Amino acid sequence: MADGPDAPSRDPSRWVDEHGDALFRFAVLRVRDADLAADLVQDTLLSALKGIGGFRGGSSVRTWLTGILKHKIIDYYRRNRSEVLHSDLAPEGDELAHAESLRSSWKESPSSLVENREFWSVLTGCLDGLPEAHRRAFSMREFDGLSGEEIRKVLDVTPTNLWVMLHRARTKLRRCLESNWFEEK
Amino acid sequence: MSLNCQDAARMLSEKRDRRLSLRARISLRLHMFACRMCKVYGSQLDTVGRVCREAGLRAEEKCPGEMTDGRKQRINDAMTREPR
Repeated sequence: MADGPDAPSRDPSRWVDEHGDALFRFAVLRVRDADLAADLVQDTLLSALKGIGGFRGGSSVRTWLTGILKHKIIDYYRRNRSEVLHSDLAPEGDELAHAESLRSSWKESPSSLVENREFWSVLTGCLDGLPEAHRRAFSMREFDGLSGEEIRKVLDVTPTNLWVMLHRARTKLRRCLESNWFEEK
Repeated sequence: MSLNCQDAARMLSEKRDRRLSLRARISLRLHMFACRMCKVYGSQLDTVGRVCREAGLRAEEKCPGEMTDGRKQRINDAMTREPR
């Protein structure tokens, strides 16, 4: 292996120290369970170790590892399908009863919000309030930008079910962010 | 053709995931023209979408949480055991 500036990171014995926490944070936003996130990181690093011959240095080690982790998360969703409850798909009767209280569009920019630690704790708290299946769909759609078609295959749901799940996730998350962040300020 | 706010909210979500029919786009446009609440609602959904995309990209640095030392040790042990 060539001795470039990148050389230490290519040494797998340092991966946990150099990338462990970053990979863990990537996973924990998406799966919202610390033990599961750590298991997925372990799985990722073991797969990377076996496949290290396939790493050609076109990207950074971090990017390579994150890519593997992303697949591990989706694989986990596929193998452990979360039941979509009937009640999770029922139409939301009262959503716009709150419309009168919508004051104005939210001004803070996304890039400044993600610099704020308190915002992160509100965001993750709101995610924890979503039904598991909705959170998975929302996470793949909004955090990772997967297409509806890709997500449908992972979750094994109809297009209509997926749209309902995403609508309900957005509705609930919007309301939660509004009452715990935007109106608090 | 006229839409209530509940339909509009559903369509504002769906148009983030798929292309709505021409008919649906027109009724939504008309409704939004008349309904300030749904306009605000739509712009808030946009913000939710943009914040979450940014959060997805920055989670490695910013999302609260780290692994315990014990957990890291277990991963290191597992990697050492792995045949190379």
